[in-house]
Amino acid sequence: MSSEANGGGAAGGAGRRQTYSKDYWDIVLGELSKRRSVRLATVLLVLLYAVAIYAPFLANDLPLRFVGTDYSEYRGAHRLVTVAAGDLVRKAEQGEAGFDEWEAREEERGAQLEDSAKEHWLESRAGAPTSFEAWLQLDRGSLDIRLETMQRQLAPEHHALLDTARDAADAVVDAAVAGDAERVATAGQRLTDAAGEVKGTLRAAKYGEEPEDGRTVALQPFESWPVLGTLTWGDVYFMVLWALVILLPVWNRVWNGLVLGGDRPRIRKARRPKVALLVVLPAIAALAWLAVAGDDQAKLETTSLKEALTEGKAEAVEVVFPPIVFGMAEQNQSETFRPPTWSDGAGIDDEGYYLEGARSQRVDEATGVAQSATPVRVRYGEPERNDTGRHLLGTDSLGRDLMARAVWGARISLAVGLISTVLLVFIGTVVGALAGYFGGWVDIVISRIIEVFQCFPVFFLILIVVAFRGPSILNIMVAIGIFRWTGVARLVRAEFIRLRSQDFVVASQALGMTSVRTIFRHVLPNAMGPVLVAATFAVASGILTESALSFLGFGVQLPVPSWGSLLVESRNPEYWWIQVFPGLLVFVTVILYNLVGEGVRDALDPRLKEA
Amino acid sequence: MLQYILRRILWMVPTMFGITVLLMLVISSAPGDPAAIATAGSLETQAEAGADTASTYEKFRERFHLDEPFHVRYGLWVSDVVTLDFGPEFFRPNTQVSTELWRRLKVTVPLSLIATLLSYLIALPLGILSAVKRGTFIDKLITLGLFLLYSLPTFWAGLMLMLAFGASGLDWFPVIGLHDKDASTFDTWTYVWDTVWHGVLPVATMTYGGVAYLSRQMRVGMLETIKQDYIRTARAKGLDRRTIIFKHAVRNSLIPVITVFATILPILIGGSVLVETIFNVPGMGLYAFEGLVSRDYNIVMATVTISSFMTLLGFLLSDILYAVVDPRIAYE
Amino acid sequence: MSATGAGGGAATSRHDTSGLEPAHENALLSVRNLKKYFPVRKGLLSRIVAHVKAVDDVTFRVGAGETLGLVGESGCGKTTAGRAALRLIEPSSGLVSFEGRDVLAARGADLRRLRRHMQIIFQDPYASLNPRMSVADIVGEGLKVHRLVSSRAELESRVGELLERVRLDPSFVNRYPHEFSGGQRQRIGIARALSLSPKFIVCDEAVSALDVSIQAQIINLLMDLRDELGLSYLFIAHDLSVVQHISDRVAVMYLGKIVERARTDQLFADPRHPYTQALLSAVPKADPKRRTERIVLQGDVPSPMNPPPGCAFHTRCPAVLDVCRVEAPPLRDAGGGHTYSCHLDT
Repeated sequence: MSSEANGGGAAGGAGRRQTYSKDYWDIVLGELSKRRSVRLATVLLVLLYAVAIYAPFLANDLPLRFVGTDYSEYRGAHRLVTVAAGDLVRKAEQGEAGFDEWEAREEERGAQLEDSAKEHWLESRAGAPTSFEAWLQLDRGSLDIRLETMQRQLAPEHHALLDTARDAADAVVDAAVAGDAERVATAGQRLTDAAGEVKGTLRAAKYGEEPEDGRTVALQPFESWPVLGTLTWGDVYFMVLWALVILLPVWNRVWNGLVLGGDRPRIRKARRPKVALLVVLPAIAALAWLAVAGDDQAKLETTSLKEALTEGKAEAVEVVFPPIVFGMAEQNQSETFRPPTWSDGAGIDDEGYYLEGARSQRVDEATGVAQSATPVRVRYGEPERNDTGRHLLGTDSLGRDLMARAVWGARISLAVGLISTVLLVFIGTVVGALAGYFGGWVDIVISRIIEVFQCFPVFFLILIVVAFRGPSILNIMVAIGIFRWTGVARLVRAEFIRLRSQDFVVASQALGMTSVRTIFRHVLPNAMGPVLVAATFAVASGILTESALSFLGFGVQLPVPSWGSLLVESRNPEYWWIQVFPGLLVFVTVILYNLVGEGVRDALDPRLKEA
Repeated sequence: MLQYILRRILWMVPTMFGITVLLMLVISSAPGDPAAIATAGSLETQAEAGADTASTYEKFRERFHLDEPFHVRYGLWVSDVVTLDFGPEFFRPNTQVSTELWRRLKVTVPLSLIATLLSYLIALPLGILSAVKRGTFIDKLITLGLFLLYSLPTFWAGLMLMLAFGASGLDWFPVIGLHDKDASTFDTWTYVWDTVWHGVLPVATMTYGGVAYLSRQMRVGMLETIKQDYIRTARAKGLDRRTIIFKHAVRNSLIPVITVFATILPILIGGSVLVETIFNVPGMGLYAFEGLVSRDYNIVMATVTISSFMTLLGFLLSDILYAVVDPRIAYE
Repeated sequence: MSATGAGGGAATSRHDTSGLEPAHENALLSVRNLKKYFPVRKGLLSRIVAHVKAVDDVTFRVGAGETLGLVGESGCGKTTAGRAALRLIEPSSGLVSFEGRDVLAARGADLRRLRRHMQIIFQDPYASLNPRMSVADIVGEGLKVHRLVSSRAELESRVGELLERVRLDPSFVNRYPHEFSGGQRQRIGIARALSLSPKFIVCDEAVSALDVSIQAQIINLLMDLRDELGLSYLFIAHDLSVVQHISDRVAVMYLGKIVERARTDQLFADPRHPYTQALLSAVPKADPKRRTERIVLQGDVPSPMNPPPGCAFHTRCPAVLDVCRVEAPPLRDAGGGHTYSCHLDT
């Protein structure tokens, strides 16, 4: 961590009489960076969060970059061009009346449902078309996607045909909206013809075959970045933010050195702009992403690229896979419950029998029943079957790579810890501040409420809330926030009570400041020290709670992994890696947070309060 | 002093009220219909037999007052609870929750007590040693060890203990339940020994957290006390080190640590869900968990209420102890 | 140097040495029958069982340009009285008016505007400055809040002026309180109090926490400022020798009441109330030839929750009479504005 604290020595620059006076943050950061354990723990935490945030780039069954042809994808699109065109023409011919009928039917269906089924149905209808044109655009869009998919693997000479189809489709829509049945008919015919031609002449030649003129075409390689396509604007925000955080030492030094010329007071003033940068730049990036990439891209129902490559239904010219070539939900039924491949007893032979141990038996010793085995299916891009680096943490009941799931699981576990802490700190600070500053009956009421909450068996209650309201991430975070704010509230209240009779607070009153200003400018900043310490520990506690909840089965539901739920896949002691590694991750994370927390607590020792 | 105690006891009433109301609110707001779940199985068989399925469902709802408005249900529940009647279980209507709960408590409370006691037995000497030998290698080792223990997640620790010492590891201890399958045939001594042996791992899992916490408190307390002036006076008086440590320093640092005892117990009871689930110990925690999974309102209400009550008692006891020891508190 | 002098204007000369207490109507600050009782709660329902009578019917006035010293031992209520007069503590009853305006009835923005004229300097230099704010922020905050400056540059120059006024190097503006000594911190506090150009400042034991040599410096500074700016002070202290130097008139407090008040020279030459006499006897005299008997008071100060009946001082008074135990002492006049409450005839 860069430390801005140097002693009170004279700032650089000739003739400057002013010496640099350390302010509160200089002192705190200075104290913190003095401790090696804190520095180390912070760096490791930053890396841990980086792993969670960049998970899509670290563990994915999609390639980062793919240059090649995808026969299966092309075929999928090609087959359905006529279908999409046909649907469009049919709807256009039905006219507005058709749309109204359709709407009526939908409503009927909805009316018959009840309760949760109805909720689901309403949700899925959220983006449903509300006008005739929109209704048509559904199919128009669907046709477009298929044409697009074909186009990117076609040589330019074939594009004209696709354009013809597109123009025809547009004409159909225009005609239909205008209500001109005759034009609809002609345009419809044009479209049907074009679609037919596309289907007939643009079939893809299989790999190894020569294309037949007029019947099949050779696929052209295209370039795509599959992983990028799966990123949401939220992902982008945090990825940019974290890149800035990781590179902080670098750009901070540059900024301080070049822009500010090493002038300490100006560096201090530059703090706000730097923080603003950290918040705003990622937001801009996220918004840009949203604009460029749009919302959910409709995905065609094709087999995954990796699968296609494995089966030979796609060919790669260049492909770059992430370091861990497995996806979070990628199953492999031929490789269930495999120990980490670097350990003894993980080897598997060609037929699928293990080289050692219970699963190496062709015949079960106890029962005499023959044990079957399937050969391990190694997919494209993956390490060899018995490569020590294939499954670093083993696999689970569905053959999913545990390392990949741990990486993605980090997102849930770390996020829950952090966000629930933000929530409880916010609630606790507000409540504690009100009680501490205003005193009187406000304080009495709030203190009683705090007492009541404190007597709750917190874990029980969180468990109950989550169990009865449904185990979603939101519920977990909110439940933790709601039941754990009392600690922070007491701290803040105590600090406020202590501070409100401090002379400098009375002074601000005497100077004629409003309560609001006094609270925010004088009391609050001085009260936050203990809160910071408590917050750090609260994150650790939140992570523990989330894992415990998941362990009990009330956490985030599968297939979304969280470290706690990974643990529960199997309690069979044979499959030790399932229990050891996810728990180890939680353990390590908690250690890191506790280290930071203790460091912060020592750094914020009372000697800083009234220096 | 008496007034202080009275006041604290009186405060327990609104607190319990608040907790139980909140609890019932949360439970009632859950989606899903326990009546439907409960009667689902029997409904099928009845339908096949041609019996009237609707009325079974209705009867269930009636029996557990599921159709009444909230305050009525709450009132009914409270009036029952006052006589310690927590109602029957939803899914085993012949069993009273209170009977089963009592059975379970007889498992959880002793286990927690033992764990607490053990925690103190281990933690206090460890803390004192660490403080007295401050800065030495021993101290650093102890501090590191305690730190690691403090950060260790309970459920994982339990699992690791099972792996290490259970059947697939060193096989020193059994890992399921509190009794062997054939325990009922054992004579008294073997029975006791069998129970103890089964209890080692669960108790260990419940104890280490307390050890970590208490040792650190003890250590910090000792270090603070040693700095105080009256210790200096003792040394100036020429007392030997041992007397100083044990007569003065320990006694005074002991105070906060002892008073914490009353709060550790409820924490253990509350956290017993995890330990009991892992080791399949038939205690209150497991009972609560089972109730949760099956959405049995009565069980859940009962277990949480008792648990909260014990937590409150623990706090009360702790405050009283503290006030007895430090008279200043009582005059606040 | 801009005219940061007392706003009240022409009529105020420097301190009026006639020694007569100004009439309530003419006074800058008028405090009448001020009471502050703190409730004591006990029992199950926190019932009020008693009151701590910190300030029990106190009346005084401070004229323009005048310094009134308020002395008494710890716990006699002088700090409470000073803060109540500024309405930093809400009085239980009484009247406080500043320049004729009712301080206790003012609300909201009016009250905040009124506060500009009445400031306070605190006792503890280590608690009176926000450790997180720079000197510039501390001194300049008042100016910002009341919008007395229109630009950053103007703010900086005003702050610089204020620092110079309190004899601090203006280059200290960007420093933080932890770098300064007690005396310097007090100066910063004084600069802060001056920032709004007040007419009246309560010096709440402003030098009690300082080393003796620094005390003298600060007192001299305060006196210089008074001359330069035409300020009025309510100077609260427990040390009579300190008060003697700076005050025009002095009031002595005991257990929430004022027991004697006079011009400074009158009080020191001819103390009438036994308590004042005892206080004075404890002050070290510079002249070794004058040997005064040290009057040592017996007993402890009674609790302000339960003041003794009759004269509050009777439990410790060396000249106590029977009547003192029963009846409240009458107000006696020793001439020239010197009054005291005692049963003893001279």
